[in-house]
Amino acid sequence: MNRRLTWLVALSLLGSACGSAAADPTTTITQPPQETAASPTTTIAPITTSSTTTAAPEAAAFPVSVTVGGSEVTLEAAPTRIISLSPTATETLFAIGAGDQVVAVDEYSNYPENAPITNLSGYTPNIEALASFNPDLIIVAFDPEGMIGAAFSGEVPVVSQFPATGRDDLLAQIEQLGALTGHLDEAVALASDIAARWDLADEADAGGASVYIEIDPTFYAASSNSFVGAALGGLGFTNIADAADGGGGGFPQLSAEAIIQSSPDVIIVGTDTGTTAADIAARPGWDTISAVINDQIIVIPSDISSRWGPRFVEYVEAMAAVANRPVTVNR
Amino acid sequence: MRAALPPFRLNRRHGVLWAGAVATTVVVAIGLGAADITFLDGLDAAEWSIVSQWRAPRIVLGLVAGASLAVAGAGYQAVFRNPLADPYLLGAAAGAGLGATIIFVLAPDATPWAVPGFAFAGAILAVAIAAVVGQRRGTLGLILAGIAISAFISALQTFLLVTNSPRIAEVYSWLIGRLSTAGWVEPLTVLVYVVPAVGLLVAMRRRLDLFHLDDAELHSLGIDPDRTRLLVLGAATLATAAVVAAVGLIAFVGLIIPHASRRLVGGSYGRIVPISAAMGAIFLVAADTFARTAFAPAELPVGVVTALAGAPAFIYLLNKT
Repeated sequence: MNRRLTWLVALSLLGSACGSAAADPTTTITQPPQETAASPTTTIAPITTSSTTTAAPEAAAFPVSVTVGGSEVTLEAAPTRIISLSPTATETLFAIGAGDQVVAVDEYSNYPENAPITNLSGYTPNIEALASFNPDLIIVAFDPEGMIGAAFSGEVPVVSQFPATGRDDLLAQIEQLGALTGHLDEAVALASDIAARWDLADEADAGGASVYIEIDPTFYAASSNSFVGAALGGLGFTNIADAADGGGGGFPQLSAEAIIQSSPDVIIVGTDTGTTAADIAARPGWDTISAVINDQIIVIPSDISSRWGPRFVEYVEAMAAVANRPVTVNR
Repeated sequence: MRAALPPFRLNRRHGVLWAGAVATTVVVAIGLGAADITFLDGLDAAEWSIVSQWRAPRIVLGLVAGASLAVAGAGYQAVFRNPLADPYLLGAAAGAGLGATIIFVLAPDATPWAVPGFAFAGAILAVAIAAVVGQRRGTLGLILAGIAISAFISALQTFLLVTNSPRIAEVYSWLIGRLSTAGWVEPLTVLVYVVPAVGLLVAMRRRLDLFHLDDAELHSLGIDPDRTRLLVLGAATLATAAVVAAVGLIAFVGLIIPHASRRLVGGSYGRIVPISAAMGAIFLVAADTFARTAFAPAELPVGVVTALAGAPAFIYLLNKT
């Protein structure tokens, strides 16, 4: 089986290298490589079950067909050998009770602790290493040039769950994983729990207090166009990086001058930057900034704020608590 | 046989002109920035710290880095008798890059001092290895050794990056080159190395002209070309390493500015070296002023501006003169 799979991988790599996108007629699940989707040649198996209605954990719900990122994924049976190359998806899989079906997760999937962490890389994926786990479902957050999808096309379904574009996308991705693993009920419950907590947090009102979300010590910042920035929109914060993000990329590099002059009321920094509140306060001239004067530098665990998974709402809640805090603006 | 070399001394009027140009650039650069500051009605605490702790040190760093890279480039071009030589030729850039990457990747929580320290050590070490390996084969051997070692070190750096992907953004931002500095520690540290190194190059500038002659002729004049070459390369590398450690890899200045000043003031290094220093300082400060104001409050990496603005400007100069 292993050898056969490896051969298939080699052949499909060869096929994609030659540019002949001829779809195998026996393919049941087709993942058109992004953008170059050749719709006339793709054959999609008849959809027998709609996944959006009921689903008992495991068996009964299958076969199931789920649309992820515009492409249809059909599973004939509940997957039992899942590889997750996405720390976000790993957290979700374990949160919805699909952890037992996961055989390997990538090197950065450090949560929960009982996830089967390996040295697999989600950035520079090694197809053979993936194949050696004999997976029946692969979940990725990053698929350079559709390589993984192409390599396993026709043999193993590959699901790409890219960084969420917003709250709806975050919740939808959880439900997608629920449907794909036979844990739709748990996923729906988790999603509605998150939505409820998020709604509650959104009742906070920072009253237009300005916020600066520092991404690295060279003043790359998250604007409201980024996921981590947009999540603060409902809390009544104004983001000082928005003025610098004309391109809408979400992460402009700010000028230190502009940061000092706009004197943000709250500064958020992730633990992955290695920057502490003391480091920020010690920067020349930053002692005039409102957030420094009023001790409103919030250090957030990056694993929570940079993953669009079930724990992201904890970040929203933490910021809601900050928004509710009475801040004496003292400039 | 050569006729008498052209006069070395800079016309005093030219000196005043260039000093004025540098001063004007500094004044304009101080006046412009992402923060909207009106100087006429006095400065409050925040504005004062913006100007004194961010804008001014950054401008000084730009002056020092631009002048040093340009002078170091002139030195490299002279002793290698090669117009394509630049201060990164013998592996200073690659070595600094590896040194910085090691810190970014292996000790991300190290003090901010670690990155410039390791970059400096990496640059010096890479050039020293190239010098030891390539010296016995003369100038060409030195260049080839530098290229081989650069390639090897760059591969090591790429390896470290690929195996530690999350740090790529930070390293990449360093590789493009940026003048962002907070406070005076960085520019003053660079000055400690750059003043003696660039001073030596300026003092030796007339001797650089002698590299028009081949090594045998230099020997007959009583000059040891290998020793002179090592001295020039040593000083230029020291200056380059100090600059690269502080600002990353700013492309183009060290290669093009010496050519531009050669176009303007002729072939003698007696003039090329000081004019390169002035032009390099002006060019880098002007490019950085653009980088920090054009899309304010966002910033551009200055390395992008130097290449984007410098190449067309140089082509214009090439055709004009």
